[in-house]
Amino acid sequence: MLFNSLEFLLFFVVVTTFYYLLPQRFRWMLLLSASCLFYMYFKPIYILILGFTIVVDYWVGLELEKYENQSKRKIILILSLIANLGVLIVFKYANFISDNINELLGFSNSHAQIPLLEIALPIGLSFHTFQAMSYTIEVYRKNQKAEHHFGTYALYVMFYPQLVAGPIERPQNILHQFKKKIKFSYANFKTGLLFILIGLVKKVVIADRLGYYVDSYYDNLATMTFIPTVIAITFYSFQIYCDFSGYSSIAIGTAKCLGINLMKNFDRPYSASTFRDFWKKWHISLSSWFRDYVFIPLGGSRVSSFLTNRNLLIVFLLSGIWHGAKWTFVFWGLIHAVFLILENITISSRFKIHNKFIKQLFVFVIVSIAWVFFRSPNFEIAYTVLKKLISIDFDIRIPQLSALLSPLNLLLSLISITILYFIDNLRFGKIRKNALLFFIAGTLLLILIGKTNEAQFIYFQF
Amino acid sequence: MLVMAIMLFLVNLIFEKIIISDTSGSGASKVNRILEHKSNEELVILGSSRAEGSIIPDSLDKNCFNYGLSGTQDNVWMYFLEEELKKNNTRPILINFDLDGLGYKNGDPAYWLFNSSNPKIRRFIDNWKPIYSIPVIKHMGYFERYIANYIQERHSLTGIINNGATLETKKQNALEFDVLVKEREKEHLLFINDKTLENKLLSILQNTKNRQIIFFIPPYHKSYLKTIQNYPVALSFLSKLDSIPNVSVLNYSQYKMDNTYFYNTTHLNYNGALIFTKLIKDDMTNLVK
Repeated sequence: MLFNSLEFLLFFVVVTTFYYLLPQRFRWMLLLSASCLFYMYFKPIYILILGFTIVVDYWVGLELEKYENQSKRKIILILSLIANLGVLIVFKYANFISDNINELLGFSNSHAQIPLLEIALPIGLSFHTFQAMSYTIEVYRKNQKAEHHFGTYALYVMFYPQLVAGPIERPQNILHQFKKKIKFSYANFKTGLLFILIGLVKKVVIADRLGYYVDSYYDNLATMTFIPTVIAITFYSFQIYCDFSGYSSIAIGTAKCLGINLMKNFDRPYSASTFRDFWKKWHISLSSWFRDYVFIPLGGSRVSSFLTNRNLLIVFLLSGIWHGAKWTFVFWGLIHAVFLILENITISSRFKIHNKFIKQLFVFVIVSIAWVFFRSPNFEIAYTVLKKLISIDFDIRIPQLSALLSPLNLLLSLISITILYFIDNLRFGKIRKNALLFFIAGTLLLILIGKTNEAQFIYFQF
Repeated sequence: MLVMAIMLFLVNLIFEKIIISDTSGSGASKVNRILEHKSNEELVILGSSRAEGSIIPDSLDKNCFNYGLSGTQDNVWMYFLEEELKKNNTRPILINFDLDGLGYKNGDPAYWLFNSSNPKIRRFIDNWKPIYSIPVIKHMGYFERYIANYIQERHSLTGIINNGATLETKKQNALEFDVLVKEREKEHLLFINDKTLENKLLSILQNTKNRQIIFFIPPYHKSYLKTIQNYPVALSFLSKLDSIPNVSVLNYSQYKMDNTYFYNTTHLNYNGALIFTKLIKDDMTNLVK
């Protein structure tokens, strides 16, 4: 069920109420059952896939703890990685791989074709796979003790607030919290509700509003000109940020209401003045995952600059493919890799921009252009959009500026970006101090200018 | 909670009493009007967006209202017809007839929410949710539409509102229109009547003795007309309607009009509506007894 739905509201109230009514020792059962129900709401049968990886990794954790022999431990870890990545490859990448092989076979005039699998991508697969892998790797590295309680381990993978779109948690952060004796805290509850409200405003008031414009732009791409292209690209940058950070905020808030602390996933990424800085602020849980489990094992930045840049390229190509089984996502990753590498190369250059605003603007522009490959269904559409960016056709008629929607929608879109600026730049302490005012304002915004089409979160497709 | 309740009450008051009720061009206002307004020898126009955008009430008659509702189909104007026929009014009823046949489409829920407490109206709200019974909250997601209609009626940014009609004044450039024509040419349309609606319509018409019903088909852009695969079947049904006492059919579907009189390949623009309104006014003078 979607966070921005009435079903979830009811679900949240019921689960949270029973959570505090139950004794501590039974809470894991409630949360695990609730998480199963939450997951099965999307497509019930796919819980079997989740169940399979949970059983495998639970067993792997116990086995890793049993053995001291490094080669044996390595083999056990590899088994876990194969199981997890195998599921990911079958459900997410098998058709992509088959498609590409079929294209190559076509080029070689072969009539052989690999059949495509008719399977849907289980929701949140990329997220909970990475979270599960994080557990077995940390146990292997002896940074985390194996979890002996099967229910607690299952809950680590399936904890519903972060099950389908993160944050991708580390076992060190979260496992112990499931065993802690948590009493109801009004302060935590208030903080949690504020996070949820902020997340809903970001999703329903801002992201879905901007998405309405962006969708209309892409639906009418043939007739769009330079200015709506600039607006649509900019709006999409904010849409994807608010959609994803909104989800994370709701996840963090929901968990906080249960007395559980999840990691911060976004930190005003568009204020970044370098690409390196951007990746410390955007989808922090994923970028830190790739840093700790891919970049550093490859040598990180402790090797030669050539190898460091190679490592960056590998990480971002993998990050691209993690997001989706399409070459456009890989290309998106490549753009980021290229600019990070260029940043590394020019780090000691004398010719640097010192103005912070210009640096922030530059990063924002490149990141926004990269997002075009995220949003466009294929390279042809992305190319069409970028071509319009250099067409310099200044048609300023209202229908063009508003992407054939009502001019009021354009105005509300600009207002929603202003609202985002305030949300992101106000210190949370100040928001907490004026909680009632924010609740009233947030609720009125949701009711008056929220888009209520219960649009799915963008990152659900990953 | 009290502050919130008071604020929501005020919002509800402002929207329902001023913004929604006072906007003749909005769907919500039209639905409310067909239920509440006494009619008073008013010439009434019913139909879809092709009705809404093709006849200018003030140019047709000094006492005329256009109930055309964008995004709706025949089940909706048939309901409006039933409501209108209950009124004490002897003036003709003009009904736009679309050449895709009689079908169902309820249109934007925003049309119906204002009167959602009326059980007859409730069936027109697609995917009914209990939230649609709660004042203020039921309008969530639609306030913007109400405000846009309110502003549009008062400031004519991209169109003119005239007694319920919404007439597009924005100019389409030739290149953009060509793109629309190319997209239209890829389509295939069949005139098919839903049998239940057809029987219902024939029954209403055959039982209507005291008012003249005039079906009109506004000019179709040539690209749209080409997509209709079984035009003779449509003509045959129109003849059937025309044979009913008190019913007339004015078919302008093949009336030649330049691209410059169309807003898109489906609808006339303001200039097209001006010409068409005069045309239908002249033809009605001969028809109306």
